[in-house]
Amino acid sequence: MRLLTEARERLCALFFRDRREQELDEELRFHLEMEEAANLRKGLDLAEARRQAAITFGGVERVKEEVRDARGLGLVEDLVRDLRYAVRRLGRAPLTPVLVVLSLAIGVAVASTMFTALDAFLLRPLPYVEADRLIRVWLSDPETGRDRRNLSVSDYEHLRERSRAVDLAAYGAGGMNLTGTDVPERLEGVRVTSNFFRVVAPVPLLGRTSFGDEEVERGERVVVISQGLWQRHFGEDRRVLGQTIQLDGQPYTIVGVVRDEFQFPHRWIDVYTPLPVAAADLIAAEELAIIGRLRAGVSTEAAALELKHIGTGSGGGATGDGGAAVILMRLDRTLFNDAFRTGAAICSVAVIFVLLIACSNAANLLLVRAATRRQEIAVRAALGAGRGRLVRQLLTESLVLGVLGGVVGVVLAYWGVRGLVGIMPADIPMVERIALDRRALIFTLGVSLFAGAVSGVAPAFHTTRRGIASISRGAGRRMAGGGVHASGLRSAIVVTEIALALVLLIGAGLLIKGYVRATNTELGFETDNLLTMRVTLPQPRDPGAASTPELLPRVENQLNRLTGVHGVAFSDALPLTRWGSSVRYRTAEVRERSSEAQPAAEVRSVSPGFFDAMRIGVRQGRGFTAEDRPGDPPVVVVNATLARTHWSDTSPIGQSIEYDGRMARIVGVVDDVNEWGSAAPPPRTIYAPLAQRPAWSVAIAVRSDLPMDALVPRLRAAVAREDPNLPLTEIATMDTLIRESQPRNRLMARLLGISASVAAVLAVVGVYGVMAYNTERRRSEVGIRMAVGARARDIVVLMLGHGARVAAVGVLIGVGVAVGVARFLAAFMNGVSPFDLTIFAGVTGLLFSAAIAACLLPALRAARVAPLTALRAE
Amino acid sequence: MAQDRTDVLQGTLELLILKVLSLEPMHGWGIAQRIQQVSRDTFQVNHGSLYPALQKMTGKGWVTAEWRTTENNRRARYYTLTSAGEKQLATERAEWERSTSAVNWILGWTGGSA
Repeated sequence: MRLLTEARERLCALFFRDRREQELDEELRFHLEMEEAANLRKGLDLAEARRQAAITFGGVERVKEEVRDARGLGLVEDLVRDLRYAVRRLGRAPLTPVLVVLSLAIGVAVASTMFTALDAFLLRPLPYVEADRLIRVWLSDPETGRDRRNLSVSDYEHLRERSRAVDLAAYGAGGMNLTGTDVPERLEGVRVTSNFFRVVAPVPLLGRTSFGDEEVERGERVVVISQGLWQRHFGEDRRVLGQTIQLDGQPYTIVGVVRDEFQFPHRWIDVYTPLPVAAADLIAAEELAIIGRLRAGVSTEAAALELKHIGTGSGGGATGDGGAAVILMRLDRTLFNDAFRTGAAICSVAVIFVLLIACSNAANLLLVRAATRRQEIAVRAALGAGRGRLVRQLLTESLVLGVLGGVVGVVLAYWGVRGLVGIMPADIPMVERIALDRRALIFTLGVSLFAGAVSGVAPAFHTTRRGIASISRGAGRRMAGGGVHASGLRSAIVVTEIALALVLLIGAGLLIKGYVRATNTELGFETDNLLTMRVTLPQPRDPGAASTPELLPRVENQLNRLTGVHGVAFSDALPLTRWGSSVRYRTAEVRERSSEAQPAAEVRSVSPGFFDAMRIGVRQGRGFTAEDRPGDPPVVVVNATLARTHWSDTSPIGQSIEYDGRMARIVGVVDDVNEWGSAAPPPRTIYAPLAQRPAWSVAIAVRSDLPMDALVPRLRAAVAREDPNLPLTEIATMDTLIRESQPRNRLMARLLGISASVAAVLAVVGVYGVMAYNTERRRSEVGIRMAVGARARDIVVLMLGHGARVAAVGVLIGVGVAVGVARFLAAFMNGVSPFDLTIFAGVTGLLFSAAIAACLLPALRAARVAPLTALRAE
Repeated sequence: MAQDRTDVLQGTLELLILKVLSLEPMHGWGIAQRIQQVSRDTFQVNHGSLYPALQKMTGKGWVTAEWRTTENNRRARYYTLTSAGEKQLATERAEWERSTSAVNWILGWTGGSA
């Protein structure tokens, strides 16, 4: 009962605050009047009666305060009152609050932008049903230096039939050309086994996302299309089921539309078609990617063990080795591996640094402002406010500033997120999930409150330390700056800012140097004026038929005939394009030692003009010519690394080499090409003529001086003359490919660079602010010095000296910390040493100079003060 | 203004208020006057401290408050003792008497075993 009464009292107190205040006022006034009347009756005159009444009563305001304390919900009511007071106060002297809000806004914006990325990639679960049960399966591939490769059909079937821990499904390349329209379009797609949709379980938008077993076995022409394709080509017409679209020249019936967010393996898949696994002869050499779902109650480790145990069966796939191990990994780990997570952690730390620097700036501003409020604080203390209350009051002010900073920060973050999405490399999945959504906004609110609190803590506690005494001791202007202690605190804050900014700058400098080094290495071919693209012919239904013989040379002719084109190179995979396959091969000597594992090499099918157009040097023998025709004995060209491996003292010309089930004669040796940019050394490479080893998808490199806008339409027209249904895809200059060849490093360098720049600007502004205030405060001292004979130059040196000391301490601490943490960046630095002296010295010098420059202006201003003016203002 | 004023002991203020209100409902000033009178000017309550105490007691449900008109047609807030308040008065009174007895025993102790 008592609890109810108490609760009711307090709730009433909260809601009917104003009326209660009025009533309290009235009640106390009644008391005073009665006392006054009683005093009058005792014979005192009016003034005395009133005075005695007041003395007997005690301080009215204090009593009111105590009644409020006794009555209210305590914290909550005080908070509401503090909020109203804070808002009023902030409005009265807006300059400092505006600067504080701006500073906090920058910190909050940076933090929120980073959060949207972290949320999209790592915090939110993958968009698939029970995504943590999905796994991928590979085979290890120790020979070629790639740590994993896909499975062959027989490998897959072997595992699928025997596994009891996992439901396995497979998918293979299934991109198709959309034909029969005005402009042919290349569609991304996968061909999937019958249980693929059961494993991945995407939710359909229309129709069904599944293929019947029979449909798949018979290889019927049915297709599930994406929501995006449905929007683009069918205008979201709901009657699309049962209609057909023409893929690779064949009609396919649409049986379903899949929602965008459920697309697997990535968001830009447009078409899913059946993969009839049983017709093994159809796709003997097919490489399948495996996706699986753990069965109920099975752990990842148990499944990995089981699959490893089952192995690939007798002899494995077409490559004929039984030694490959089966690797299993959870899907979320594969999409975002450890290197990615490390990079994300580094970026998060950088963002926290920026936030701390922004908060430090705000704290300094608040410290300065609080110093000018000492009188107000003292009066409130005299009125009975305890220290706790005062601290709460000041903290409320800074929290309000924090929230305002958050609001402005959200606006800034909007552009930040757009910029972030813009610099994301194309191969990172889930990029489309980056957005300022509700979660990000909630996070922003939290960060704003945190920033406000952090900024306000030091000023709140420091200012309320002295209380009334110091004021009444006639402090005057000398104490107005908060005294020595506050100055020390402010300097300490600035030192921290400089140190943090320096760490970020050094980190960014190292990353940028690493990235520049990566993109500047010699690649083995000439990279200027090279435009690359890809054409993909419709995949033939029966691979026995000649797939490409006439079409590609005709296209090559057309392209060569264009004016402005100096060279045309065809290859099934150009360097730096991340296509390309590898094979195992045997030379004569290796054949004798047949017990050893076969070495592996990259293999490329290239046109006769390839080496010329790419300006790859031919060291021995020759390149390919039009004379190397399909029926002729197979010939190959090898690169220097391969030649060196097996024929270091002799010439490989004329030697034979066996690969892919054929025996070929080596006719030439060419320079090494860095297939993967500077990320790895050039691999052993075998080149075969396109005529003898056809490919249904070729990359084309065109060397021309023409700018892209002029060149691309001519290329399209030239190709259309041979086949109007053939789209040109992946058009990019070689320079772009090189720039983007290290996407992760580039992203890291950019993100850290931006953070470091923002941090440096904030820190330098912070230094300026503190120096300006300090020189302002020491005006009288300057006046005295000048009156006693100091010259302007001495004053400047004095002020600069103080600033330089602060900056120096900050820089020293920053360098120390940077030395400690630089090694965490090693993975992204491309071989640059974590103690690179140029970067350390250069960046340190830069920041130090900027800090000194920031001190210069206030110092100069201080020196221009006329001594009498300074002293008079005392 | 008596020369020797004794400050009211903490906590006993509530006891005194409860006792005053047990006789009849009263407003704040009236309570102050009554305590002063009945204690023969021994206790000069710092009037202001009455009101926080009254607020606390209202919150605990020992008294209720309502606005009424006085004899002089003035509006004043009158406090009335509740049944819970009466119980509290009895409890605190017993507590008070127990502690004063204990103090008296100690003061009257002349030595030797009690």
